[in-house]
Amino acid sequence: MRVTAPPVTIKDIWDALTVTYGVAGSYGLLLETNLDSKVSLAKADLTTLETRLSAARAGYLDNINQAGLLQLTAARAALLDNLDALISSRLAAASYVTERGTDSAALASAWTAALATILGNFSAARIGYLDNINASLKELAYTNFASLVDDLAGNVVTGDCTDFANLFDNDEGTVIEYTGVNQYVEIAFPTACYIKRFRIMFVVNSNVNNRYKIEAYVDGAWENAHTGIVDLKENVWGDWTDITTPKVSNRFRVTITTFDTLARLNEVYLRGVPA
Amino acid sequence: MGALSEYVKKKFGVKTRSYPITDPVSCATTVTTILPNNPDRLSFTVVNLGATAMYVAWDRDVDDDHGVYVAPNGGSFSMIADEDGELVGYELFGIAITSANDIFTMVTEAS
Repeated sequence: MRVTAPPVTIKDIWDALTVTYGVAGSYGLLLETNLDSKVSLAKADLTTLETRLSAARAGYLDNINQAGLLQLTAARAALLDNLDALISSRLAAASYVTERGTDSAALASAWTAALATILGNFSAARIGYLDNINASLKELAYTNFASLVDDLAGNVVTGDCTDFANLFDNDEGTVIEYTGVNQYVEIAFPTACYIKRFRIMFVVNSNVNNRYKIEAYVDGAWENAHTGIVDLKENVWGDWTDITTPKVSNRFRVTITTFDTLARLNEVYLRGVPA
Repeated sequence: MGALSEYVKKKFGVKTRSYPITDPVSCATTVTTILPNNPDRLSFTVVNLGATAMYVAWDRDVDDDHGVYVAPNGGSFSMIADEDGELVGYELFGIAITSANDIFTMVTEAS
């Protein structure tokens, strides 16, 4: 008599060991009391997590990867506490729809309309005119100008023509002589000045074909303030002449732009005000 | 006569024949006659093709506490005269414990 059984698989062994969960020492009981309880506890926590981590909140994680968040330092985050206090002292949101004064009272309708009118009239072009007021005030001030610039003696004078220092020495008995085109005489004031007018004393034995200009040193370059000055070839003062483009600088120069044979000047006066 | 036939004849002393049992082909959850009484039977093998266990015995008291266990899914029970004597020819009963099982039975008897 022979009794055979089919080969036993691992599954057969496992099933046999776990078939009676209630038997002490069985793997089934082990699974039920240990793994199941642990899984149950984990599942409870997972349920809580699922409840809190909604799809919307999970989506917020995508926003964490923002460079701007790195700028939220602890100090800046602390400022949020102040924000709440400030907001609490503010009016309700609806109140911010209406323009208000510093006392939080709503502006009168007349004010609102007036402000609108002013803003409408105050165009960009008109605002630009403000830049001219300062220059205009300076122009008015020159009439009250003291003798500071009239008497130019004592300021630093340089040049590349003959006896250049004589041009600003306040001495009508001394002359300078240009010997070539583009030669100049420069005067440097201790501070920047706004020069509005000039006059020149010429020399009788100069040449009427000569031409001169007045330049100002502005922002690192020489700029023309007045050009086309005619040589009167007389020992007389020319008229006070308004400079075409008044400049503000501490350095001005008289340059010959057209030289014909002989070019001499006696004296130069400048008028203006300290800038 | 082939060598196998020669051998078997010498072993049992008679010529034999072998054939499968076509009835029954399953063992029920009630007492089932698997093999009838047959004094000419020299050997047999019963294979449990079902998924549940079954028991066999030589009386109608066969049950899970009375009989020989035959494992499911290919477990087998076999007897041969020179080992088990005349018990080989006794009537054999079977019972499936959970659900009816298909069985496969081969017998060898004197021809």
